Amino acid sequence: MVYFMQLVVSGLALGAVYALTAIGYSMVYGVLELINFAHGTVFMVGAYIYFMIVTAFPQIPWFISFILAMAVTGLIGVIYERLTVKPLRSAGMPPFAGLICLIGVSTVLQQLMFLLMGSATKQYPLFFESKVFRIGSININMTQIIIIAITAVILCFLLFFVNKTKLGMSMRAVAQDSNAAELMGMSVNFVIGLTFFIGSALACLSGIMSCMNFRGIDISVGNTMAIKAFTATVLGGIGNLWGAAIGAFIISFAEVMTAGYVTSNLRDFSAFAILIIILLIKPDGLFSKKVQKKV
Amino acid sequence: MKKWGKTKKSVFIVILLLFFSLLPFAGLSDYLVRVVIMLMIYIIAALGLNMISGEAGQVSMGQAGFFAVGAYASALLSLKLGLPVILSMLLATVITGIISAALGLLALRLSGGYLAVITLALSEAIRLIIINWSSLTNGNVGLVAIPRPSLGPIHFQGYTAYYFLTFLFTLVIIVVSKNMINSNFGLRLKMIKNDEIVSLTSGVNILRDKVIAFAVSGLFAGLAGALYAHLMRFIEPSVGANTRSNLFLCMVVLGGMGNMYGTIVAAVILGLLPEVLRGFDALNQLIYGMILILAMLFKAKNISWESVKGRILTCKKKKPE
Amino acid sequence: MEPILKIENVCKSFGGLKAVNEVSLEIPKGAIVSLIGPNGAGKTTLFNIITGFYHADSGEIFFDGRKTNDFKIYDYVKVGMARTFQNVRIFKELTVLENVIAGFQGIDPTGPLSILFNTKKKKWIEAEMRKKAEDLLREFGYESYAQDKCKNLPYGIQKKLEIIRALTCDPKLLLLDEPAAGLNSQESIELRGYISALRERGHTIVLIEHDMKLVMDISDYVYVMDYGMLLTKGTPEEVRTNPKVIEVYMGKRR
Repeated sequence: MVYFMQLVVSGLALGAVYALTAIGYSMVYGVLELINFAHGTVFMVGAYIYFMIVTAFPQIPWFISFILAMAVTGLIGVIYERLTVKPLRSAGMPPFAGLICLIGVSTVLQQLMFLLMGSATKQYPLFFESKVFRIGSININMTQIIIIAITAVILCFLLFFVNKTKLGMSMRAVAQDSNAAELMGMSVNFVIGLTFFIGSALACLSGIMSCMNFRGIDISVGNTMAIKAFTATVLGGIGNLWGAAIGAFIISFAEVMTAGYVTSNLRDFSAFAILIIILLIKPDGLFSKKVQKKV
Repeated sequence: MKKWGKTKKSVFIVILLLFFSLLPFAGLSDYLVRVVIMLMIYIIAALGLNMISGEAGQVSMGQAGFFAVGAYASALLSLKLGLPVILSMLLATVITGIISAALGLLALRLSGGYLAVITLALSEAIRLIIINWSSLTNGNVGLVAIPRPSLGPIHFQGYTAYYFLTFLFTLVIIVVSKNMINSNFGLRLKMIKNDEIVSLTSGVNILRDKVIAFAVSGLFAGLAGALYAHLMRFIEPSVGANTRSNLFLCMVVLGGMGNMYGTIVAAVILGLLPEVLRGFDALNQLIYGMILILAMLFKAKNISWESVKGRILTCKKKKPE
Repeated sequence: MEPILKIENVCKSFGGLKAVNEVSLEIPKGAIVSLIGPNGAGKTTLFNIITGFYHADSGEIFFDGRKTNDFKIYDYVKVGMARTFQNVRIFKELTVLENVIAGFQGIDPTGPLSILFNTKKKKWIEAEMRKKAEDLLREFGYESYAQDKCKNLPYGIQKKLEIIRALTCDPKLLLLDEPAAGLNSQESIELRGYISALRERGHTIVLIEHDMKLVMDISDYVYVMDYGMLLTKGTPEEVRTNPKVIEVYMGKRR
């Protein structure tokens, strides 16, 4: 039982990280019906940007470095959207064009990061003292607490933002029908830019916390993350923010339990297996209503 | 006029054939012959991907997974069962074709980005299976001392003989690929790429044709992988890495998404790139990425290969004036 | 006369909205039948049910004596039913000739293995299809367009081409969804002769159409739908004078 609870704690921390990235996928898919293949790389880039800020200016308070890193990563998201996705969208290109373009963006970002930082794994800085708390007989470390707390705050904030603010509502409007939203006088371009900004900023946050969790960073951290967070998104019904968050926890628990009770070699495999099974049984995800395809 | 065009074409083909048949005797170093063999292997795999992603428009990001299946299957058949190498190559090709048909039957019910992701996941799953099934595959260590083929008294130890074997396979694949594209089947793939709804109303069982195209792409990838394994004589799980899948996709996209000759040219260019940029691996990948982006942006701006070619040709013509 | 298409009590709803409600109808062989009604009356939904795009929630559909409820979309061509779409749907990136050959793909008998090899039989089949397609284009006077890409052709020609594609497998029943939409009056008059010519060729025709003059001129029977239900049916004359129909078209709604 103690072992199980211990796994639950690591599952929660891992799931929190996945959830933040998964929401980025879900948001972009919601407005553009496009799977953002560059998102996993943005996750890695964001984590590195924080790393660079903290190494260059260790005296800056941690939350300012956080916000700075998120803002810069968000801007990167907006920039690549303007440079690549937007021209394709305005030319009315088929979806695969955007897809391939984003694979390109992903490769370029990753290699730029490689040229900048090299391929060696680096130790990731923590802004707090690494302590282990004992609750009953379960160990929780400081990183896990911080990850879970920050994710909870961000999720609540997002809930408020999407449902209660004008911007959030225009995002939902564009997701539902971008033409109608355009006619109602909303700037669809602005909303899409905003979506990429928020998504990328969240990926950055997720990246920072993930690297803190594993205490290290290298340029490949985004690769498996991309597939896992995407799996979470699909699991929850792509385009559905809360589904994405719940899907993230399902994936993280499956992974942690496989590693804990079967073998850690099959850890990544379990995520892929879930993705493959879900896509085959219920491509629309667990929490989406089936939409009849219009002919 | 038409006849003249035809003769011109066949003369061109004969010259190409002669060129490639004489190439290994032109005093090239082993290294260069090996590079050309690699290019031909890339052409085979890229032509396979061209079938499903180029002609039928179904983006697959897992071609390297099947490449790895072919490589491992052929290597294992010859190492563990002691089969003659050419037989194990052919068997490996068929095995890969069957596996890709089965996986295609599952995956191709999805399309667009979902298909791209599931093919990526499948190839990652294949790689993880190869790593974890170490009793068979030697895990991360990889397989060593993979034999070179021999055919009766002819031993393919040197690169020259292996060159001709690969060349022969490449020719067969090009001809088969061309026949398929120019047949009814090829038309159906174009229909599916254009409009699935109308294809269905025209009576096309689109899942069936997509699965066939996917199986063929796996078949070609399997053959390419087998040729690769016996060329390198050493393979490890990273033969199925997704950077290689991206490379194949890049070839098909740069070739014009459904242009066979374009894909061949792109495979040659992109295959030579790492040789030109030896030691600059990151730069190499960076260029692949840029190519994908620019190819799509050019397409959006409606700059086709024909128009670029036209511009280049007219420039050339204008120079003497 | 035995009906070629018979629909019994078909229902289809989308999340509570009954798009098609207890519709029954019979299409006699060789007739031209029109389906009219205001926008959102369920005409296209009914078409989509007949051609397998939607599965009916309840009710039965018989085509040529066969129950077709469980047919796949691609099965219909083989039994002799073809359709067109509201907005032109042809293969815009393919040539005119390829579009017509596309219509034969449902009956291509070559198996999955023979696609790898160029067998004599396969070549013969393909040559035969090409010849038939060329004949069809000649019949409708479009042979000069054969090598043109469809996206470069004017809308009116694209629309007729869509009908030609539907004709390739010699369907017994042809369903045309708003063939006159987007045509100018000259093209619309041409279309009228064109549809009558199709009947001479032996096809039964069902069309959805908003151009009342066209409907009244060429139809043998007219079915009127409103709110997913069949309002009335009859000859053009009967329907024209039916007070219920007049109410639907002139009354509270418009």
